Amino acid sequence: MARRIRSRNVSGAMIVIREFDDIGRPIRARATIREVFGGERSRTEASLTGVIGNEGAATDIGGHLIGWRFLGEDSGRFNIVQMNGKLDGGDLPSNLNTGAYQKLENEIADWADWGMEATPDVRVAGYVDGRPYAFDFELRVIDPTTGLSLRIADEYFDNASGQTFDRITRTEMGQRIQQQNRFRQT
Amino acid sequence: MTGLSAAIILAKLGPALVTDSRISSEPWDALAILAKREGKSRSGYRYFGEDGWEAQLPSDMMVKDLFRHLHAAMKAEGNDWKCALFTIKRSDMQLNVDFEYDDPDRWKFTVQGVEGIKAYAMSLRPD
Repeated sequence: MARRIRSRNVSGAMIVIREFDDIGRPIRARATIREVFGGERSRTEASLTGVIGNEGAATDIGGHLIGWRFLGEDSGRFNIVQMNGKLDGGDLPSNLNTGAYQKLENEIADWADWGMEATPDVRVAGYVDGRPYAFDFELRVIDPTTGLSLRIADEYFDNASGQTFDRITRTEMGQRIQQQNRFRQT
Repeated sequence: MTGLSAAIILAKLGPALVTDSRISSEPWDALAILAKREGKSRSGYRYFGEDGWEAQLPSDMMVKDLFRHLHAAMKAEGNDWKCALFTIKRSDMQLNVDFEYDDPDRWKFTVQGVEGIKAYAMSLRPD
C-alpha cells in the first residue's frame, strides 16, 4: 500500500508530494518549483547520500529524486535513492546522476530563473536488488501568468550510465515564453 | 517487455492516448506525439481551433509504457525505429504513425526565433 506525504519547503512557495512503497522506499516525488535555493546541504545529508549509495550497486551514489537545490533543505531518505553515479565501464559518455539527470535539473533551474513554474514528476519504475532499475521523469513547465504549458518532456532513464537528455537552451526558453504570450494576445 | 506483438500494441495505443487522464481532460482537435530513444523520450502537442497549440503528453504510466513496449516489440521483429511521430485527428480518431528508421534527428527541434517555435509545433500537426 503506497503512502503519500505532502509537504512545503521553507519558503512556503513549493509543494512536494512524495509516495512510498510498503517498506518505505520512495516511489514518486513531485514538486512545484519557482526558485532555486542557495546554501549547502548539511553534513548529515551529505553523509546519507554515501550510505544510501553503498546500499546499491558498486557504481551507485545517493541521488536526490528532486534536486536538493530546489528544496533548500535536507529531506533524507524521503528523497534519496540508489542512483548510478559512476561510469558502468566501456566508452559510455556519462553516468546518470551527473549526466542526463543533472542536465534536466539544470534546465529546471533555468526555467525558474525565467520566472516560470516547473513541475518535475519522478516515478521509480521499480526496485531490483535494492535499487531502482529505472526512473520515469516528466517535466512540465507552465507560464504562471498565462497558465499555458510551455514544455512537457517525458524521459525514461534506465538507472545506468549512458542515458541522454536533450535540453532546450535559455534562449529557446525566452522565445517560447514570448511566443505563447503573443498567442494569448491574439 | 509485454510479450505482445507490435500490431496489438499499436491497436491499444490509439484508444489509450485519447482516454489518457490528462489528454482527455483538455480540448484538442489533433494530437502529435514524438517518440525517440527507443520510445523512452517523448514530447508532443495538442492542437485546437484554427492555430491554437500547446505542449501536451499523456500522463498515465500505462500509456507512456506503450511507447517503449512498441519499440521493443518492433525491434524484436527487425524494425528498430530511431524516432516516430504519432498523430491523431479528432475528426476520424485514427492513429497514424510515421516511423523513421535511419535519422534519429528527423524531427529534431532546430528552429530559431519566436515564430519558429510555432512553425515547428504546427509542422507536426496532422493535415
